Amino acid sequence: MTPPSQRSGHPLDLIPFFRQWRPGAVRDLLYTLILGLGFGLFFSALYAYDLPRDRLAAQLRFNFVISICIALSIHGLQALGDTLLRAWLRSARGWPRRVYYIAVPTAGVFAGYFIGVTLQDPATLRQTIFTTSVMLSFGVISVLVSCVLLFAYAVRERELVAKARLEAEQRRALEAQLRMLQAQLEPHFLYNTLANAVGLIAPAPDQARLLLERLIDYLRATLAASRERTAPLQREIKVISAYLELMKLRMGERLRYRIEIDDGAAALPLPPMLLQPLVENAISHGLEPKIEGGEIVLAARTEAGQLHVTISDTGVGLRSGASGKAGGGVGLSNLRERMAALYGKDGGITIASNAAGGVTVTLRLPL
Amino acid sequence: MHTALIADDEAVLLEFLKAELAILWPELRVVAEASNGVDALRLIDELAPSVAFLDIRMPGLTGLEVAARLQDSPAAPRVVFVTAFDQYAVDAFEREAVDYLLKPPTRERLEQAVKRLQRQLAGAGTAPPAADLLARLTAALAPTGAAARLDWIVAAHGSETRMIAIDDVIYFEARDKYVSVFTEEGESLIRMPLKELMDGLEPKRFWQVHRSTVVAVKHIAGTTRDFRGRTLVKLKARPEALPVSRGYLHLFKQM
Repeated sequence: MTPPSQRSGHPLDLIPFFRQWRPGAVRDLLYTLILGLGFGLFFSALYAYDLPRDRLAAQLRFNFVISICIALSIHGLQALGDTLLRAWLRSARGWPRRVYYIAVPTAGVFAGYFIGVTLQDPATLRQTIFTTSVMLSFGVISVLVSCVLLFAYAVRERELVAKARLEAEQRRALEAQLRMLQAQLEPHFLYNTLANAVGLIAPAPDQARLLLERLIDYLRATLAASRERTAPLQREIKVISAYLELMKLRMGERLRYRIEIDDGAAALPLPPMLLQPLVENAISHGLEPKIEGGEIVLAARTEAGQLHVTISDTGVGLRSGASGKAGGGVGLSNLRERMAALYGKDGGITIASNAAGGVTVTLRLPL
Repeated sequence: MHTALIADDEAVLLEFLKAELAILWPELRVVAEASNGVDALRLIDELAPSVAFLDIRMPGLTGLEVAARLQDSPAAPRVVFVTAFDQYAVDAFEREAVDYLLKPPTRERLEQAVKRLQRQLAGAGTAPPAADLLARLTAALAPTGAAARLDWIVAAHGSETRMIAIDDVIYFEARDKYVSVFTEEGESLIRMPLKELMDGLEPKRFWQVHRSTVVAVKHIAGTTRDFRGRTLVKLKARPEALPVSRGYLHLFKQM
């Protein structure tokens, strides 16, 4: 995700109250005037509060004209600079960018002050502006204010990026969970299984009962899994066993399977429903399209500080050269996304052909 | 007397349909049962039944493929497709007015189908499903979005074949008759022209930088120049640098 590095809007947007109006040329100009009046008031309060009443009005007017001039100069220079240097600004980062955002307002301050004084009292120009103390105090103040603004921008930008990332993460997690549930209750699977149950009622009621019991096991485990963050591997194996038993009742001789779990691996925690889609893929894309069916082997063992889970089938295999939209692409992409979100670089998945002509999927998970 | 073939890869469903038909249409003689599309086609050729109940998802050949191959056969049977719930299939069948049964077929629904078959067989026999209709059905039942984005590619990696996620690809390089795929784990080969491959790639995520090179944008570390002044792309996860042709230099102007 690209951070919103483009500076947009107006410094007043840093204050939540001012964010209720949409950015635009007129609004921004109005904000600049408000900011100018604010600064005028602030500096008048600092320097002119103890003046006698008869001189106060004149001094206040003088100050406000100056501050409005300064505000408009900064506004104008910034707009000009942003337009002229648009291409550079798009890629500039770090110090060059910071220097730009300090230099432009500072130049604006001097330009505005010069214009303001020239407009009102050109005779005093020499003593009011071209003195070391004025130059110094104006320079220091404008650099300071620019730095504070820059800092505030940086903080706000970081907040926005963090917020956007959090929202994206939450949305992704929710989507993944939804897709997972949808995949488990795939209509083709559900209706075919129920059709089998109906078909078995008259000729083999015991078989029908067995099939429905396995379906209930499977659905119960699925729903439980969708509410948990992790579950021990052996629980996932129970879900898979229920699923495979059920498919065996349907496919008969065409499905054989073995499950080999090392003693050390059985209790390891695992995100639920991580493996089940792979077993389902092995059946629907490996064994079901093959006339004589085949075998599925699920093995889990710990190795070099990792949990290795392999799911091998003797099905029709990967069609070489073909682009891989087929072969459970959506389910696999979903799985990859979950793995990446959970483990980052520490986890991995490889999908490759095996000696039996089928497919072996290997998951590597950190312990 | 009318004869029938039933094809379904799940034995229980086949037996069930046979038993139900025995009740609803006792005169119909089921002469053949098939558990895959290849057997179904062979048995229809051999026995020429008047009716065929074809499961859609079968190993070997799908029900639709079996029907399509029966086009030229003089004794093509009336076909009823059987499918588990599948919204695409149901929509397509409804639209094309093809006979179909949902699994598990209820007795009422099966009775309707039987009556319609009996009417058709009693009449001069309307034509079996035409080729273009089957083509439309096949298209409607194909996995959706297949033409769109590529998520995985199947490639040769050493002596084995692997599925590589598009997200893992760093760059593609066209060779003579195939394309090399480079990931962090090395080089794999796909037998597909680069042009065709690029149709499945998102232009935002993959840039062609040379006639024969396509790079994943997120793996680009930056650009550099060699002693001859050519621009080269540096990669985050691989040591080699890839030359950029003049025609593609504009991609890097805004970087």
